[in-house]
Amino acid sequence: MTSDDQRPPENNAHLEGDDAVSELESAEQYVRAHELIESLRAERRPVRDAGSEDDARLSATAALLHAASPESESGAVDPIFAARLFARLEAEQARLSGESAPAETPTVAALTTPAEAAPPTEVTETTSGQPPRPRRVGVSRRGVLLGGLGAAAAAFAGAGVTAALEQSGKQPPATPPTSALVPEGAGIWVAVAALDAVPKGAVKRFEAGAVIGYLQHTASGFVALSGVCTHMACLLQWNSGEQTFDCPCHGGRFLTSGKAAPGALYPYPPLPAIQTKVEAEQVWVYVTGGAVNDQFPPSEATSTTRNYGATGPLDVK
Amino acid sequence: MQQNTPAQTDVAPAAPGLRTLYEATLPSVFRYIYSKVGNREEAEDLTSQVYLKALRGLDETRDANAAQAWLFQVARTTIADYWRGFYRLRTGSLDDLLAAGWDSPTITGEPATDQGAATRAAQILSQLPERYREVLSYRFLLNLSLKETAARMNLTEANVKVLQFRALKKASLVVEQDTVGGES
Repeated sequence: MTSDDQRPPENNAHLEGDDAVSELESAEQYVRAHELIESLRAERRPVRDAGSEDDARLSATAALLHAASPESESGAVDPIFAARLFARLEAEQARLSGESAPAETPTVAALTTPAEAAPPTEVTETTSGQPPRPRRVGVSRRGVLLGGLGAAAAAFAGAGVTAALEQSGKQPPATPPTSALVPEGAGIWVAVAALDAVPKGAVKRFEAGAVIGYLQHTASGFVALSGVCTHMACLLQWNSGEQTFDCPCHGGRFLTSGKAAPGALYPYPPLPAIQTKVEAEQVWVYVTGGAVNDQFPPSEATSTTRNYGATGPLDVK
Repeated sequence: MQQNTPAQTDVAPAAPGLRTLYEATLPSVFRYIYSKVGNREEAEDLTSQVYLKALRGLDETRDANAAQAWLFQVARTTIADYWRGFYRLRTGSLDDLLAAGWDSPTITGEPATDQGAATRAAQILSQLPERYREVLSYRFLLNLSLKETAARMNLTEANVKVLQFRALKKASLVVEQDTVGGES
């Protein structure tokens, strides 16, 4: 094929001797093709409006060429995106499971049975019948190093995502993920309130380990839910008037059962349940360790939110 | 320790584990979708759609290869639906577009190689006139700006705009011929 550097293409439909291609050209086509290329270079969605098949083919060809570029690191998954999507999938899976389960079971089931009762110091170190596992699976230093994912992952799904990322490229995970916030063996027990500080009907916000949640004293006992919206991980606020957990970001609203409130703009997946238990006159929650010190008992200096019997603005009744 | 939610673990399938499947399949599924739309924004949107749609199927799938094949199937239909929303397409042309640049991942079920798009792009470029190949290489493979490309090719920026359109158009016809003509 010949080419002539000196001849400007405007004057030469025969620049490359390909007259058929240039027959129906217009300036608009040049502009559109240019915008398409620039969108791809910026990794942005190009304008796609009521195009012809030729437009589709042009776009697909441009996509292929762009994806082939070693410059754009194309095709590599952004770890933040991967973590967010996985959190959504886990939440969706939990929702699908919840559909076929009896109503309200997730939170009620989260109550720990007395059979589990044991001195707290033992609970953190032994798991029934299982080999000891590292206590800080959820938010480790390595997780943080993975592109600052530790915090993001904790916000999105507690232990699951970071653990998943840590294990990627290594051996497959030993246990399949559960829909609970903190998988068995991956968390620690943290006391969040004195037994008599949360009367029946009260709702108390807590921060424990890497988890922010709400503890409720219901007719059937203590129930704890994640305090993070299942949509985009904004922190929920307790609305004592409506008895709902409201999301300030996109209007998400959840009932005390953890399910999305009826009439919500979009039915988000339910809030994951957190295990609770009552022991030594304290209410305990099973959470991912790491973000806050996970010693027992919590020292006054580092955990004001865990002061026994503390009454904050979020307490009700 | 006690299971957190016995009611849920009763109904949730025990195998093979969403996390395992996700980790095993996400890179190749994303790369496939990315090679079709060519930008991260759309690729992430569509990848999310694919996994959310495929979730029920994944629950029932026991085998990673089967899961991968299923995901690619969902990816193809998702991209096809997405394109149909914008372009007036014949049925057959969709198949061409979806197949272009990819070695039937739904059939082999194997993870795509990193070289998938690069190899295909090289094949296409090799069939183009030199100046077309040149402008596309600068603009796409080297990711140069219009200005940089014009400087390297000793053209005005307006020249490059015309040339890159024609080159892309020609390349798209090569893609069409190749896919219509059979395996490339």
